[in-house]
Amino acid sequence: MKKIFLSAIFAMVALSAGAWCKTGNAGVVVLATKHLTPKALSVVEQYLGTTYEDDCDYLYLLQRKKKADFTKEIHYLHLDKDFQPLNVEGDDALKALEKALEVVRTRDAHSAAEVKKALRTVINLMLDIHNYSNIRIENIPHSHSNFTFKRQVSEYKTTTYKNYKWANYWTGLSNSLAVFHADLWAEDMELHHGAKFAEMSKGTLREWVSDNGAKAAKHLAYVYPDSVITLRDCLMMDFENYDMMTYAGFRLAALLNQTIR
Amino acid sequence: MKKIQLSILTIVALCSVQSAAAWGGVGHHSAAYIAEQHLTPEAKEKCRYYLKHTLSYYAMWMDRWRGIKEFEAINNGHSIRTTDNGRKLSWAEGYNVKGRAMGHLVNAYKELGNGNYKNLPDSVVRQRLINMVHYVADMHCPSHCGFPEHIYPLSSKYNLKRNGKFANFHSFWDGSPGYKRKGITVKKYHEMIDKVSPKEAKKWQTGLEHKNLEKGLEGWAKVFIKHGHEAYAILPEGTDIAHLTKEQQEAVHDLADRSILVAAYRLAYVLNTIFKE
Repeated sequence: MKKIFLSAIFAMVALSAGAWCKTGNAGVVVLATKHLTPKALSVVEQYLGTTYEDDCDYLYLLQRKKKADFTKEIHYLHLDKDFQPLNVEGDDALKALEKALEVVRTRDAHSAAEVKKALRTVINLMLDIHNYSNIRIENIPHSHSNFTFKRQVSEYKTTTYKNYKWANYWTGLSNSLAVFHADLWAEDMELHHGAKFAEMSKGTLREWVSDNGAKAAKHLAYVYPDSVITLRDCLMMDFENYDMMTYAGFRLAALLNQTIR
Repeated sequence: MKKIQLSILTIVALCSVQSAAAWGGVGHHSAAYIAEQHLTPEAKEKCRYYLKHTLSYYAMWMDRWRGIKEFEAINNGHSIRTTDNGRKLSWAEGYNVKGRAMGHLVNAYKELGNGNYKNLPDSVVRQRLINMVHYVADMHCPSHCGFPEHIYPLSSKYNLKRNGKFANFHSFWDGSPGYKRKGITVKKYHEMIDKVSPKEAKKWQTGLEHKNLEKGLEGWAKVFIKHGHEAYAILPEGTDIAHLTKEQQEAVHDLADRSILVAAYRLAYVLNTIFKE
């Protein structure tokens, strides 16, 4: 059972495209739609319809099909040591997000296809910037690579460790619930955190980026190449990963509500 | 929130229930999801109050975090054992012995039932519910019925193959609800299998009303043992699971789906009874 379970979680990473598993990503968007203003919801539905699984994978599918007009760097956030955005060459997640938001804001001046692409970009990148493995911090060199660390398997049996990749670990954590459908993800996150929507979605995009960077840095202080992570820390990482999915959904709603008035 | 999370860790150390291991993701999450569809409004509200999540969220928790020290007492099992003749549940072994899921259910029910949950700290009720969601499903897994070795060899010795190489009997049945159903979600699975009539459901949902719970749940044990025998009959020694016949594949799905359904309806029954006003 244990073998099946671990391989199900961490081998499936290869199948997922995006911040988390496919249904998890869609669940985050469904969660967001529950907190959209009627105006924002009608615009989202006008361009994207009412199901979001394909929209969540949009940027990754473009890359995979080699139809992207961007590099994979678009998925990453680049922050300085104080977690403020760095002005990197080319587009990173923040720059691309801000450009896409501008298209959504001025949607009447753009074609339907352009607005649809911009909305999908906003969704994809809001998911990406809430996954710690997409955050690169200036003074933390290992945040720039998909390094390997060791994860404790058991605290009380003959201690054994397994190797995991930083990016795959955060992406793969949601795979334990990959059989959820998007509505169930959203229902569960709403049940768990719904009352805290106002608190969790407070702030601006740039403040959220810094907040995410500071949180990621806390983990990167004890998870580094070849470090050994206790199971207890992994449990807390799992809880936090779920929280970050919820943050992504709530903040996506807030961002769209601010943009679509 | 962090306080709640840490209290889960603390409280679990105090739990009398035990065990871990069974259905894979499709089975566990679906059993919990289907159970939730059959909760009374009162039971659903209470479960959500204590868990702050859906039942499905916690369906595999006992497997996922079994390696944490406080969970050592609940690491092994989630199974039941039959007596030497392989026909009857061994109640003598059923209490607080590792891996005796029926005993844990009886204990947990006594702790929470008859309104007793109201006198327990929320964190204790929460942990009992998390455990119950898992092991009520687990005990219905056909490979979780432990037979004496002279009847069937251990999984590690049972001659099952996948493309000629050794395959684990237990693991195969753990994953059987998702067998050849790539990408299935709990919702699709629910829609596909839950065609149960109220009459049939009622047949499964009995036992807790009995003054002697062990006696009352004997009917459950009979089903586990019957399903256990079926699992071996469908995959006799020497079977290559990569090349099952169409009939075998159908039989695998039939047994897996029936087991999940019974587990789901019974989990709902247990929770509805506990939280009945």
